[in-house]
Amino acid sequence: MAGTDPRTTIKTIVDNYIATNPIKKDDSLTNASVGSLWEGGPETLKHLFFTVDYDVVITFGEPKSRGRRRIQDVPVHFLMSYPFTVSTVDKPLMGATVCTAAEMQYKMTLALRMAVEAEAQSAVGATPAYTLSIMSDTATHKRVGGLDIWETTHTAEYETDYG
Amino acid sequence: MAAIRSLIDRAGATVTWYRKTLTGRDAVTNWPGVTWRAAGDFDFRDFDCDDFLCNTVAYSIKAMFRPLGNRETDQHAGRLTEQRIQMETYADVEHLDRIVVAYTIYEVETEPVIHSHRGVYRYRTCMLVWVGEQ
Repeated sequence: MAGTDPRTTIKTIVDNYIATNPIKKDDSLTNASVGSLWEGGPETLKHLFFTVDYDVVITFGEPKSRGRRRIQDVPVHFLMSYPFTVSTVDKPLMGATVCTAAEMQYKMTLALRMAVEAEAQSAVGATPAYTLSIMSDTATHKRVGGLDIWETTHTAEYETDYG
Repeated sequence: MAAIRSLIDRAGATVTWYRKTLTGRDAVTNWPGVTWRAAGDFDFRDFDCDDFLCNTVAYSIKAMFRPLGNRETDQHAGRLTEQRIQMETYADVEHLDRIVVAYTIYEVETEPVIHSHRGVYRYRTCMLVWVGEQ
């Protein structure tokens, strides 16, 4: 049985939504450059923000899953939690700020909620069948390596039967 | 400037520096590929500039080294040794470049710290981590 890694499914949902509903910079006119990657790639944070020049970076992390079967003879299904983190810094490094890190966070949170709501369940007859929702968001702010880094980790719950 | 370069030239070791190249992004993860190619990699079916050293990506450089120590960790797949050394060089090495010292491959683990004096670039300091044998 062929199956798509749920992390790819979630990433595709987010990418497609942002492609059709671009996130705007502080001026509400210019599209922000949004990078979307699996967590753990070879590029450093500063390379992503200041060489590749992303304004927002979304990284899709490692999942946690648990099986669930309420009563006997009902098929097992799985609750899978997929964290993905939106990272932002003030851009550019020098000169007037055109992307304020804290403000970009809420624009992304809103966009992600709408993206997931629009694709909350798989198509009829899809294999595997799934239901998707954002269960929680945890926002942090820290000063590391000379940068103020704002991060919000969103946890999406992907419920599937794999049947 | 002359004194520091002269010191590295006189007291440093001659090592091979492989610059990293970031290639196209993976369709699923969106990560770029990372490659390190030596000059003169003769591709029999891809007879290109690289084979004639006109696009050299490996260089002999002078550098000074200081060992920093080892650490052993146990991963799920087995024991892993981390060995780190500190390197000083005036070549403009970057994060993820590789340095080969006596057939041993090290990778630049940290973004190099640039030292300058009187507004002039002098040399770089970075940490190298042992990768494996060539």
